[in-house]
Amino acid sequence: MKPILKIESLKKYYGKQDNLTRAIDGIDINVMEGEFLGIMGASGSGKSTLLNCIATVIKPTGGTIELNGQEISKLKGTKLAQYRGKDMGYLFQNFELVDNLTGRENIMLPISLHKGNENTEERMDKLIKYLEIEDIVDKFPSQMSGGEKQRVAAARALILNPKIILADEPTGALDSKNAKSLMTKLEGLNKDENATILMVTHDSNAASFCSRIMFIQDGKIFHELRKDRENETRASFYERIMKVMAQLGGGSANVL
Amino acid sequence: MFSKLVLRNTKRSQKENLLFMSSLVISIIAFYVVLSIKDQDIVRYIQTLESDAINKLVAMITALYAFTLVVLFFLIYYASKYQIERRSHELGVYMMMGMKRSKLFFMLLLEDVASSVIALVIGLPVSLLFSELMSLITVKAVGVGYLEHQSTFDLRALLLTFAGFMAIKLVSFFFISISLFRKEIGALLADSPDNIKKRKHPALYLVASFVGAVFLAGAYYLAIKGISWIDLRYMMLTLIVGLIGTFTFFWGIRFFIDKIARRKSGKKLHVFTFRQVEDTVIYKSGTMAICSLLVLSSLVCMGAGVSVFTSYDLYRGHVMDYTIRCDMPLSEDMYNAYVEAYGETPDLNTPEKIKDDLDNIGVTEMFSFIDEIRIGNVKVPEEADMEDFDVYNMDNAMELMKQYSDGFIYSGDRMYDTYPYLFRLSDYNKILQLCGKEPVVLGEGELATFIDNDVSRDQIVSGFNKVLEQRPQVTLAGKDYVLTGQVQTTPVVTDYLLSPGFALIISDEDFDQLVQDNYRSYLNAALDEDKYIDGNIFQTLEYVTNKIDSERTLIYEYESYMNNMGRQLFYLVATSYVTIYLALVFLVIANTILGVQFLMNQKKSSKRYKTLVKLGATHKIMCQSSSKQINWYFGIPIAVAAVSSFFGVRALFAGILSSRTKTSMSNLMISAAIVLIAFVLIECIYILVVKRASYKYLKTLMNPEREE
Repeated sequence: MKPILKIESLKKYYGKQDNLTRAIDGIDINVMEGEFLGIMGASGSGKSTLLNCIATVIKPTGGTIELNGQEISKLKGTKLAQYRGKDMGYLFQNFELVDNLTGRENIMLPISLHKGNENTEERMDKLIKYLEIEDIVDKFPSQMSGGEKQRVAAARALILNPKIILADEPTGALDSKNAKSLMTKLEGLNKDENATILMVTHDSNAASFCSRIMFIQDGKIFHELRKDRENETRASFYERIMKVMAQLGGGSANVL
Repeated sequence: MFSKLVLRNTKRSQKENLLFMSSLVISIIAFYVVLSIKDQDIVRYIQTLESDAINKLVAMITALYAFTLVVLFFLIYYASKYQIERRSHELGVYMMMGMKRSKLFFMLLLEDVASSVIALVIGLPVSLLFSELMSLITVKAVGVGYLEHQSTFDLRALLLTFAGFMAIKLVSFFFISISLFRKEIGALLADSPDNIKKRKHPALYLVASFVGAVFLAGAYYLAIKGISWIDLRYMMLTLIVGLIGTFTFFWGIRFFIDKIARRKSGKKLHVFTFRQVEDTVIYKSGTMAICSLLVLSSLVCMGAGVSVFTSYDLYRGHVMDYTIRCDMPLSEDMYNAYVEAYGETPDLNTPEKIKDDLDNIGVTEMFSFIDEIRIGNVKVPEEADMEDFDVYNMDNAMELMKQYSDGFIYSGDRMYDTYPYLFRLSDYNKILQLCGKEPVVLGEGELATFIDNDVSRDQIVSGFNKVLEQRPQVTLAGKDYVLTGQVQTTPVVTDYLLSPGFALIISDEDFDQLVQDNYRSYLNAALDEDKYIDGNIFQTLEYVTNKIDSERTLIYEYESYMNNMGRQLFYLVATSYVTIYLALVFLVIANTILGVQFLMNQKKSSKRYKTLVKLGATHKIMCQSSSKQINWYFGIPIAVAAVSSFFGVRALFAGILSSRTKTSMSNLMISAAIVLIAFVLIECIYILVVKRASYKYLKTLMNPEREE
């Protein structure tokens, strides 16, 4: 497997001299194609800053981020917009659905912005079916539950078959039942469609669906866990995650 | 610290919102212009001709000022509302930081007063300049450019402008403050669109738009068929039907926008663009309907005003410049009795004497025509039995008139008179010759007809001409005649010294026989165009009139074309000023409301735009979407107003505007073109300003927010 996303010596500092805050302090990550990578850490550890750097929301102070060999900090104008909309699919904690568009119209938004191909409609039907949103796809967001909204948002993130899906606390606004249902779908997409997913979460349960987890503390990679795909159950992986979280200081309660 | 904050906020508001500042300045100009109308050169001049006019004008200015106060209140209200709502988040932050509502209110009040002062500092000099320009242009356009220009500066107008402007500014501020301070801090901090309203079944919207269209068609029918003008009840019926039609149509129009949104299109953000348009139509259908009605009022006023101004011919029907009433001729018995009593011949103002008088004061040479016209009535013989003596009967003609009047405004009864005026054929033909028209030729037992220029609406004249083709029989002084030829409308006097609504033109022999001494002469005179002083009729009329008036021995009852022209000028200036002024005020208000509503809605939809940015929308794509939304948002009410205005202007021509304005097609086309160009220009400026503000706002959303 080759790395699709390559992050080298990534730094993001705020303030100057005495007041300098090192939100990210020299992180190296390789995300392989078809991998489901989780980033975990306590509040203020730098996990969201990392995701924001990848999503081009903020500019890093140093280091490089490459997607498929292309340095993203050098992208500008149309190419930057293309990266945000087509190369990267983003799953937001608060869904970010446009409230005056129906579910279907929301899913179509990236196509409307970046043009799909002739298989787009077919893909949309497939995603709608897979994510089990046939009954609500023509409703407006105000008529959907949180879980339904996030599944519509997932379909929107996946519609253009992006190179990588960035998920920012996707279960953060969902109840446990809906959270589990969404994670099962994401895991399925990762396995069946070979979708590359990079998920930031503080939810150990959600993280247990990942194939690899990197733990961040004080802007640095603190630890890494890899699920043994062949033998390990999700329950066992969850236990291992919890142990690391405990080492991080104060256990999951502190993280949550 | 507090005053610094107020100053900084005021400065920032001026910089950021051109639309708001422009609205304030426009309001000031509108106030000053209406209040200083009486100081315009042309109005001062009319005052010298028609002193009555000034009273009408003062009454009109007061009413117009009150009306302007009301309509401009809405302009200021919407502009200020936008100005405050766009800062709702900032105001929420102040309150979060512990600022009391009373202090926040005081801060906004100070900012409001500061922005008003800035608007007055800019607006008042601009108003003065605008008013001066208007004064100079109108005297030139009307043809009295030789008048000495006087400044239009009026302290009273200036103070009233200040008072009116500050009053509506403060009242609107209090209204906005009340709604603002009722909101929770959370609502102020969140820039979210209004709660999603429950959508009704699409068929309901389709039915509503259809019903609206039917009501509108009904209103159009009532208007163009002239039914609205029958009486006040029909007028109210037309208005109510039109209003219901407009509001219902705008409520239902979302059906079509939803269809367009659902239509497949390769254009970027097609669905988003039309859902945004649909959103504004859903939440603001009432506002859009009001704006459409304002644009309609503006177009109709503009059409009427410009038509009056461009097609109104001050010289239309201008034949004579002076008419002097001669004394009644004395019968032979009366003449002899006078000579016997006073020992001298009576000093009557006979046509011959008046001609000599004019010659003596040296004005005859200024005339190209000077002659009398005899106008009389049938002299009933003393021995006649009134029971049997039929002075005049035209029942036959009136019956025919009812058939040909086309059910329009039937005023045929005004033509029927027991003792109709009779014009002597040769006298009338001299007037026709003067204005280069064909003379009336009458055979034995024939009469021609005359209808006054003011009465003669086109429909009545054409209807009566059809009657005349039938050669209807009439009875005059017991004799049978037939009415023949075409209806004559050339006036017999200069102005209103005599106002015969209807008259018969009769051969000289029959006139002498039937009228005998029961007539009065009027001496008409027309100025020689070659002898106009500086080629200007106004100056020449003033010169001759002064000559006649300065000669104390001449005691005439006379009128000059100055009276006529004064009245015409007043009508022209008052009508065109008021209508064009109202048109501009309506248009400015409609556009400001539309623009402000759009920008407020865009601000409230900022979350949607931010999502688009996160999905990779470029500034260019978002601007294209916004541009299209603005085109539709302005286009829908304007299109409905444009269709309605077509019928509205036609209705005006059918009902209010007299036949004087219904001149040649080419004049109307020029008027239409002027209206269209002015309208398109104003709309383009507004749309561009709103687009610019929208693009600028979208630019601020381009950097996705950090989600930590």
